[in-house]
Amino acid sequence: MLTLAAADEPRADPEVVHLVALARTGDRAAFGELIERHLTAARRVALAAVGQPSDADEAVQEASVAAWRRLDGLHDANAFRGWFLRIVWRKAIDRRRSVRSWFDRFSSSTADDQRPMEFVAAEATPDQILISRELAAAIAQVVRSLPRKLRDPFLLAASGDHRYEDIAAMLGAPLGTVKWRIAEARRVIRMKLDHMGHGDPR
Amino acid sequence: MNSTHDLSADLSAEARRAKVDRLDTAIDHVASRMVAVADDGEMTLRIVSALPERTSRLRWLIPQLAAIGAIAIAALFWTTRSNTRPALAALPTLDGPNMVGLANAVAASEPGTALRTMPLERLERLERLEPLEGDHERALSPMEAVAALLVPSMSPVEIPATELLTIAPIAVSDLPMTAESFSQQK
Repeated sequence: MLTLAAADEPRADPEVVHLVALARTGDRAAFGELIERHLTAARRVALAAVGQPSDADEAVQEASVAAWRRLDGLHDANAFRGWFLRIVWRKAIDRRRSVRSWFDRFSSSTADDQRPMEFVAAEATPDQILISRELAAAIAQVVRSLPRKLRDPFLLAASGDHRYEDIAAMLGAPLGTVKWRIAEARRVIRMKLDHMGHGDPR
Repeated sequence: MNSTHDLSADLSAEARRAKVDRLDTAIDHVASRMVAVADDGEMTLRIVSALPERTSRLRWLIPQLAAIGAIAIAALFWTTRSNTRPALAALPTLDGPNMVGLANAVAASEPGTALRTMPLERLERLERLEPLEGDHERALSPMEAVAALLVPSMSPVEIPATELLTIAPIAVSDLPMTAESFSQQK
């Protein structure tokens, strides 16, 4: 099962509050530290949306500038992480919708499909390695072919950085809907893998 | 026999469960790999260096406020424009010299026409007058032309110096000029 972030509520962090206060006064270093803390999660969020690392990084940069400009609109400084990641998600979705991104994705889709998946069991035999690589490629292909409504929450959950509540807030969908979509994505993946010969032998 | 069958069924279920678990693990692993990112230690620096100058969140309101203020000032000026009159000059005081000058000016000026200040009384409604029909039967008879004065031409020397100049009286034929000549209207 996917590993989700801890389900407890975000605690008040005096350091974050202090950094946000400094950033509001124009302190770039403080804002940079805030970004640094959540940069990996932000890049994963963007990558889940656009699928290309270069597009994801550009979306994160745009989102950082937008967050810098809208910092006064952040009412609760402790909610900086969720607020920032939501901006990243929206920027990434905007980029995904852009025509240019479609062309870029189309032109580089072949290379991306052939990106090797390092899914190999530690004690795997050469046959198992071959099968595992085939399986990994098949899984990646199936995941990419999922409808966006299923793929987005599934990949966000796969990053392991977010709670279901965070994913629901990012996607603007009810919590129950998000949970159902993640489970449905897994079911569809398994069904397609089964059709491809990698499924559960019954 | 049954125990052997149960054992094989259990082994089959166990194997199926193990494969399902392995497939789930593979799906999770591949999915997490799809959103994995390589470390980029300089990305934060690039982001910070690309940050623009921070502006006040109300800065976008400045043009709108300026426009509204200009409109308000213009409206205020326009509404108070008609009421604005130059300050009245101080009236002369009724001290000695001013009083004499004022009296002289009044005495020297001609009296003007008195203006009516009282409201006019409301006029009574006049009765409608019917036009009179012509009474051609009893109309005035045509008047004969007045006889022309016949003054014989004479030179100034022919005028007697001592006698009065007498002029024959003008003879006027019957001229109905009195009220009795008019017939009574029906």
